[in-house]
Amino acid sequence: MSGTGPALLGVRHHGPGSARAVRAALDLCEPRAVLVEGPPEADAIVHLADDEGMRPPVALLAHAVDDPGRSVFWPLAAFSPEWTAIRWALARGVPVRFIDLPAAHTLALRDQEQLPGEESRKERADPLAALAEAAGHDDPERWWEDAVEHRGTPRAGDALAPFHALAEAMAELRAAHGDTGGRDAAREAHMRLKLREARREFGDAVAVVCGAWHVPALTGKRTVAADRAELKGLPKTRTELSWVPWTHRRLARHSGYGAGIESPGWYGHLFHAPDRPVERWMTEVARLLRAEDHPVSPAHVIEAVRLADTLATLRGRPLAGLTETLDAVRSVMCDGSDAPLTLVEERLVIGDDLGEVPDSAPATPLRRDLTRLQRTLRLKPEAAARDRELDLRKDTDAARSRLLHRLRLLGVDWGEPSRPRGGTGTFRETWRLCWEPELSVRVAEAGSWGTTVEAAATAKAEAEAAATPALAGLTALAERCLLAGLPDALPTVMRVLADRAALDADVAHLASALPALVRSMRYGDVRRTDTAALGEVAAGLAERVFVGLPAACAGLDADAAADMRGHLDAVHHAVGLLAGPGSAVAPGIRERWAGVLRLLAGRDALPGGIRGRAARLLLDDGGLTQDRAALLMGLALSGAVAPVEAAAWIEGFLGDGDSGGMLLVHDERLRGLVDSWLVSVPPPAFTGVLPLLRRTFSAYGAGVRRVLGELIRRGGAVASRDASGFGAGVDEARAAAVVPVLRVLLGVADFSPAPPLPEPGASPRTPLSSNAGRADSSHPDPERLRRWRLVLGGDGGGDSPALRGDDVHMDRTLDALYGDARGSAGLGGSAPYVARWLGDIRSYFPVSVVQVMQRDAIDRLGLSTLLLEPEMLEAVEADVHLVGTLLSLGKVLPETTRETARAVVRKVVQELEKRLTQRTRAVVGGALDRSARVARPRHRDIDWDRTIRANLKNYLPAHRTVVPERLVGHGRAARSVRKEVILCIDQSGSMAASVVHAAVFGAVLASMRSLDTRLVVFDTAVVDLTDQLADPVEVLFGTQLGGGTDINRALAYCQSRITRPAETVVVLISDLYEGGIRHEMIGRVAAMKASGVCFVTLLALSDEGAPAYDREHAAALAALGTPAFACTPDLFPEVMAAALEKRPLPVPEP
Amino acid sequence: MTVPGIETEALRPHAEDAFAEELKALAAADDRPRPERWRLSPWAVATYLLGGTLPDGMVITPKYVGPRRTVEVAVTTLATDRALLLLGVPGTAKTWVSEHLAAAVSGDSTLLVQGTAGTPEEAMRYGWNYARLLAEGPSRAALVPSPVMRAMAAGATVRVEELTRIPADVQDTLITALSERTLPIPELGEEVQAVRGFNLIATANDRDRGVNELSSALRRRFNTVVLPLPATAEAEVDIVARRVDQIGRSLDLPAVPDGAAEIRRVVTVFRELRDGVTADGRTKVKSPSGTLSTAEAISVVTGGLALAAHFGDGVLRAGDVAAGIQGAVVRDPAADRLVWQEYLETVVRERDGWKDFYRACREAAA
Repeated sequence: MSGTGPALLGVRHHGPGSARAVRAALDLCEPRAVLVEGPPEADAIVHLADDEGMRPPVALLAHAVDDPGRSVFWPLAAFSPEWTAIRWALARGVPVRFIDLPAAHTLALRDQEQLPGEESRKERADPLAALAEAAGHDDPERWWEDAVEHRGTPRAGDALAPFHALAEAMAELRAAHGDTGGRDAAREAHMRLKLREARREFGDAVAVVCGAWHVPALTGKRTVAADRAELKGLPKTRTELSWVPWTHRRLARHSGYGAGIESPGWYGHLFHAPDRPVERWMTEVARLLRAEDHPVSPAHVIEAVRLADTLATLRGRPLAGLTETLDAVRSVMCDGSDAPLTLVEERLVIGDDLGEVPDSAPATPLRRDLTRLQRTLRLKPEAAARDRELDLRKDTDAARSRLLHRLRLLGVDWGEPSRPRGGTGTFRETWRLCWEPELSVRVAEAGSWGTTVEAAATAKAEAEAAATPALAGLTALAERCLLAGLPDALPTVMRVLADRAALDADVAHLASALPALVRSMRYGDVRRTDTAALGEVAAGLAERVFVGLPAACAGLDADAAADMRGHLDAVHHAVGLLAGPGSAVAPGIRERWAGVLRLLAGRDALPGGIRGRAARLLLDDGGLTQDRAALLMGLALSGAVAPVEAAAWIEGFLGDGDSGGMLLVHDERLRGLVDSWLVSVPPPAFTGVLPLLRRTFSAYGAGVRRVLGELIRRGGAVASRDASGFGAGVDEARAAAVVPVLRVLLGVADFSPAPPLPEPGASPRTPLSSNAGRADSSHPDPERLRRWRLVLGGDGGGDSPALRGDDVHMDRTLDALYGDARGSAGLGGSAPYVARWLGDIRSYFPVSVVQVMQRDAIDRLGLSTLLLEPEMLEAVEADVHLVGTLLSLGKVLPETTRETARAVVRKVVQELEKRLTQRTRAVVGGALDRSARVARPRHRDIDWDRTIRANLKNYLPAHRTVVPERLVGHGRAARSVRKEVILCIDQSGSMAASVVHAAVFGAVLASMRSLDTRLVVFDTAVVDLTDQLADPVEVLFGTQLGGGTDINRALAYCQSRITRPAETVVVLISDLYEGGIRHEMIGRVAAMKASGVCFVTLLALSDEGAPAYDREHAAALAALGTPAFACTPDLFPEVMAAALEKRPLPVPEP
Repeated sequence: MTVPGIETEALRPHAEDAFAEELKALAAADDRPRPERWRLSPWAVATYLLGGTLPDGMVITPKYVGPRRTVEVAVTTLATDRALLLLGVPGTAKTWVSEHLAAAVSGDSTLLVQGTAGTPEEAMRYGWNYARLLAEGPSRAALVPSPVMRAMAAGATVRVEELTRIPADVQDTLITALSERTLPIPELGEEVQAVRGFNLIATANDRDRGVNELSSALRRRFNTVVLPLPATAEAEVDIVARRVDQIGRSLDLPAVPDGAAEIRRVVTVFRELRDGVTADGRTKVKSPSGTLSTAEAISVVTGGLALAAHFGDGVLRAGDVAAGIQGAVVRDPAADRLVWQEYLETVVRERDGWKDFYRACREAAA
């Protein structure tokens, strides 16, 4: 055939070996025309393949003119034989013709068959599999690779030989399997016709590049008439063709448009590598892994190449293929692990290559689809901005809204929602429309996502879901999918969301994602979207929150507890919606949530605010009997409970806004509870809780407090038997009274006067049992009124009882801090007044409450500047928090105050030292002694003198030697094993108390001789305070509280200070909010652990519990075997002892 | 030790003795090139482990049931003169594979260092016979070679079991042996040079926490092969059922006929938690800190069987395995308990036909 007939180059689509062979064959034959398997309509745009702006991978795309959603693709990569042939021809000015069946038929036929092209192709007997089987290979892909792809460039002069051999093999196969009918027959008939046509025009100097399977059909003897008959009556669709950019990922088999290649990146490498493909490949892999922080040296590359080559030999392959190279990479470079290997597969084996198409390419179908939609929806692109109101109940407007939302998803911001949608149930949307010229470019770019706006937006949303790491981002995306009406994208988004939720360790993340999701669900209902999937995911999310919440609430400090309380409310609201009427998504979810709340309300170890809130939520939902609520309140507020905790409980229970106060006003039952508790508090304890109650109540508006005061004064009614409020059942008569008004409001009835209301007392209702037995308070008790007056403050009503004696002063001091006039007429004024105030609170209230009030004064009223006065400092009650405040003032502190501040700090530090030193020394010292016992000495450490002396009793005269039963080492000097401790302390604002304690511990540890202690504090910079360790006060004044955090940098510094990793304990005290490089930080901890360092992470070193901390980092560290936990100063010595002895740390159970 | 006059049979013969015939047949049929001092060609070693049929019809039993790739990479590693590190959770046949590899390659699987926290340097390099050292002064006669040293001298394969349990500084004594292929004896001013054929197979448990990680210097002397857990649930159920049967018989437990369903359930739970995804691949779950190996599944089922047989009605029920499963899953009381509860609430509760199991687990957790 060679020389006489046309050169028939049968190839494997997208085979790099085929591509090389084609190039060599073309160079040899120098044909006058090149015919390529592909749609003939593309002849008109094939010249663009040579354009400067064209970069493979690209695809020829044919779509139906009237429906751009119907389309076919012919993807071409740089290593595709077809692409090689096209480029070869265009570079030499040789005409290129496509000879496959016209796309017009292909599209129409596919619609008729109702089958996607891929499947029909699969049904055909796989010719390669048969050939491979004949050659004794079980894997056809690998056989083809060995036989064709992995051969280098064929020898000159022999370039056509492989094609002849292949053609013969295919002929045999076709003979054995029989020709396939249907579309293949038509395609081949068309190819023959086109080939004849080309031969008439160019003679025999024609080259054909087509799938190997078709080659025998082209040489077969068929008449023109028969071929014409085959093509007769084929259905036709009006189509248009264009070039679109393609990606390697989409070439890969597992991503939809199966071009049939699993490893485009590897093929690209094989095609482009001039020589030594395996060596070059391994170097690429090493570079990638190094960039991702895996230590891979050239030695690794060498060993990997050796292993791959030898494996290929063992498996009887001519050259190491992808399987061998990946096996070698896994074993040599990745320590046998698949995780880094996934990276290699994603980035190199498949690759991120993205094609480009010149601007001169015909318009993309997406553009056409958009134009069509703009026409049908009468939404003209105009450059001038204008607002457009959409009523979503109208179909056209709903479609317009969907289009605009879809375009926004695609990054085409034609419309901006001009008003933030507040209420979610709204039927209206307002858009500001403005068509900027660059939006056309955006549309062109978006063309790679799909051929219609809907398909493209769906694909984009799905891709975005996979790339969004945060739960909150995913819920937002789900919301956008609903708005854009993309039900097809929703399952993917939901799956990713469910996956992320399942692996997220932070309950706070879950809890904040849940409300948004539930909201979207209701939103979806408005738009008649199917939201079953959403409901399922939301229910799953809720379930996970339920399980994780109790543990996540444990051991939190005040601020973190307040955050968590917010989450509790949000989840409660979401659960209410989820379990709402008509919702069948989560049967029993309300009961389970009530169970969680009950657990929270009853677990003593949890912060008061959370327990109080849980009790309140339960009470609101009727999940808690009044008796039980009273009991809980009594327990929470009893004398043995620290006043701070009790106050937090009250704050949690009564809410920290007007709503809580309104509740007290309207719910007599609740008021009764608080009232009876308040009366029963013993007098000394009352002064203890008073400031805290005042604080809670001061959050209510003045009006609320006044009404409350009024109600209290009206007195006995509260506790009387016929108290009204939320009764046990529905009071039909009273409810009926409201109905007429409601009917009028809803417009279903005219107004008619309502029947008279029955007397409140007349209705039969169950007495409130808990109050029934209480002290009869039918006449106002003066003590009771006094207490309420103090709690509510001056707004409790005009005729509130006058206070007497100390009460007046007490009230005034409280008013200064919590009253409405605070700030201006209150404490904000002069320094002398504040000094007196500080003195006053100390004389009226117990120390523990004084500290709380001081903190409130500093936090709420910004009194910290007042601490700059020495006399003020002397007046305050010193505690750890005050020290924190002083330290955060730092350099602002004037020289005159500095001494006083130092004195205050010293006092606190000395108290702490008194409390901690002795025990620390005892416990840590004991640990050091135990680890000082040396095992059997090594050979070079043997003290021969003493060994022989010690074993003289074992002298064997016959052998003239001593049998050294016991070896004595030179161990004396080494007996005092020196351990090294590095305390690495985060000095961000929330860590103040921890810093103080750490400084004290640092000093104690530094005073122990067999311990080398180093103290490092950090924010974004790292300061080594080891020199000043002897005096914790010096250390503390060397710190600068507040500012950012760069844990990574601090750890890097610590790492550089470690000389004997196995003997070193690193204690990191931080809330783990990392401002530096996250994965590097985790990596450093892993590296230190690997080198033998004992790494301890403390979220706090204080009595308060954990601050808000980054739970993801904590989980990542826990996975490395270093659980992060909040440690009290009393527990710390044990933790240190365990760390020094390399025992498991005594992590407190939640 | 053999006592004359008494016929003794080792409780467990070495691999090279137990399969001597297969090795002989393979050697006879093997016409491929062999690396120096190898008893078989790499191809034949792979066949020995994976099983196959020789041209003369002799059937080689499979010693390792698992992916072919794993064994091929392991054998090839040894053939390229690199040390081999077999990683895997307990119960993935690491020791078994290393023993058979050593038997097939060197014909001797007895050169063995068992790694423990107390493994001394002498076990890796050499020790001294001190009595002799004192009497005769330093000499080769007073030196006690380690298995590593003997393997180097003989060009054989030495095995190190549980490498990561050995203290880090002792581990690092292997570096010279693996990189320089020599072991210096400074006391004598001599060295033992490895002859061709010397190689080392180490095993380590990759889920052990708080043990001595390999230093990177040592790690890069090894090619690492991870021995995977059973690939499919069917295979695992099969392994568990068979082992439980064996163990049950040796413990004289009464046979429990209807255990299959419960075994399947245990395996399913273990696999789902281990893989972090439910069997239908639709829901992700968190993985606990424990290893949840097949070996543990076996012990859970055995324990459950004993409960059922001695205290129950003889039928293995959900309640019999619930406590055992929880014990296996919840290793770290704080984190794992959450993982387990979350799994129960989000996966088990909704599953058809698992109500009894859910209830039993809830009871066990309370």
